[in-house]
Amino acid sequence: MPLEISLSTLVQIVIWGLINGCIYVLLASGLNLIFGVMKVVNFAHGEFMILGGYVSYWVSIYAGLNPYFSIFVSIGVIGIVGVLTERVCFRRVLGTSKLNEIVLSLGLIYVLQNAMSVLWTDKERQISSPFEFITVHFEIININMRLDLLIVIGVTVLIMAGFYILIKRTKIGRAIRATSQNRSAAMLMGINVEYMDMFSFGLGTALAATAGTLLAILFPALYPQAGAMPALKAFTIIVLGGLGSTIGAIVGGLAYGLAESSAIAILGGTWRDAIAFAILILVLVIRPTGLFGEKEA
Amino acid sequence: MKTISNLRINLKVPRVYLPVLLLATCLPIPLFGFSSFFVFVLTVTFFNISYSSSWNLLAYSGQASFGHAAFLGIGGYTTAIFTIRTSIPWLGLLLGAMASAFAGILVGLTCVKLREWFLALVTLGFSIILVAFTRELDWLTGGVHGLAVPSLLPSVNHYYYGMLALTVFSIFIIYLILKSKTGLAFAAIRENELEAKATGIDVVKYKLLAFTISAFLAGLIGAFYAHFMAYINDQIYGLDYSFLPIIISVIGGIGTIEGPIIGSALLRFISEFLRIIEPWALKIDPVVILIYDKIEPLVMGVILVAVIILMPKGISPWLRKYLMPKR
Repeated sequence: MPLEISLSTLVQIVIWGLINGCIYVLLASGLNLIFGVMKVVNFAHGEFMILGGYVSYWVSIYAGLNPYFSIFVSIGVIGIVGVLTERVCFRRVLGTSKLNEIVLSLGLIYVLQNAMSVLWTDKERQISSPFEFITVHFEIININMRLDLLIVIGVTVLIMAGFYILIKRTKIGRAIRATSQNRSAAMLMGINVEYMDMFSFGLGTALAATAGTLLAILFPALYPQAGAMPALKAFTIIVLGGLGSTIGAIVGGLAYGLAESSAIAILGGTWRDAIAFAILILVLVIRPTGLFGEKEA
Repeated sequence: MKTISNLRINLKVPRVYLPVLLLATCLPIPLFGFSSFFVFVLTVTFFNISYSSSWNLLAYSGQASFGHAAFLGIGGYTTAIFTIRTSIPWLGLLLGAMASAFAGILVGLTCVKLREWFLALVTLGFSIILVAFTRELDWLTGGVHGLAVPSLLPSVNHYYYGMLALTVFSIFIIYLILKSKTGLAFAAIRENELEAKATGIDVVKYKLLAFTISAFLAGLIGAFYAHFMAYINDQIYGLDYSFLPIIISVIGGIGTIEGPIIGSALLRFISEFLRIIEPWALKIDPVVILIYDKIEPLVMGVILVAVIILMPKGISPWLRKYLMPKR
């Protein structure tokens, strides 16, 4: 097919890439935090994201709260759900075998997805934002944008800044980093690593909940099965960006969002999911531990 | 190596007469004049058992594939396309299995050096990439509309015996492998790859072998399944088919022969139970019909999580431990 990409198309691709990138950054950062501290891959991360979206949805409907403020409710609720999940499920199998941990998260996918289906059916929903019909016109590049898109980018920047400060500047953040660097040494320094597990799992799922809320504000894409693919892609991102690296997850998320939206524009929507895995397989063939992966645990 | 005398039939040991008893129960079922739906359901159960067993063999070597549906689908599509184009019956089954085994070697080569979670993602990725290819190559695969697969056998009863034979064949092959030195090597690799290498086991060779045999069996089963269902589309590569053998084998017991049988039986029991109580559930609240098909996977998910937390090795080893303490 002939490729005629005008300037405004290009800008559209970049904007949608950045928007999707924001969702991926939030998801990947949470996943990365959990992996860094617990060395557990939580494949059910996307389900926590969708659950967070539903919490915001119901809060904004029944309490009439502005969806951007219902994010905070969602963060709280899903954070608690995450902490409980760690306490009840993951801690019991931690260290038994890697396969058990992976299969446990697979089981959680089934439980959460189908529980959401049973409770709220498979209807595709969207959180209605008060700014839904407001668009902003940019003179220079001659383009109209929904105001929500800008707000979503702003919210993501704020949340990620908060997350970054929490990890890098606070005492608990230092404890989290210590635990992810060397668990037994951290234990010897008087850090309660099990508490860190719970805290980082809750924090990771809370970040996912933010992603879910933003996703549901932007697209009519809030249905129980919507989380599976984004979570797998988020995992691809942290493989590319470096397992355990905070900046890697941010840069990787944005880069992946851009790559995906240009791939859709060039190749078509069928390849959307395939591309992530093609990249992943390519990277893992060349470097079996990931781009910036650990030597051998 | 085991000598012949160790394999002599000892009727006090249940592992000798239980399979024979099971088989003897299964053989005459279609002759009793059950409804063809019942026979169909049993055939699907045999499909679950054999397909999960092929996954279980791979897991026995320490490689848990999360995209086993890729092999199922390759087998199914190969036989579908071959049989439609050439109208030669039966040969497609073998071709499907061989195509799948070849794909197994390719996936295995990618996966030999990967850690567990990467292996899970890469295998899953292969099945998702196959979905995209199947949709794009619609002149070959029928795209999203799928293909109508020509039937090989005249009735569901014949398919019942076919699937039963295939199940017995797969389980027997897997049994022979697990009893042999190859099985020992698989177990050694699973327990500790480095130590296995140190004792002189060619890790790469055995890992590839596990992938090839498992993919061959899955391809064969997938090919027969496609003929049985008389239809194939890209859903065969879907997450449902990929996760099915994992759920069944993990619940039943990873790396055991009887694990997939127990898991499949449990799954079938739950789904039949839910179907029996459906009229009552609908009488209480008709809205339930919208979400009724989600209850079965929900129950399976809860059981899976409970099994992993409470009996991490699965039901079968747990039963062995508590029912047969003196052994």
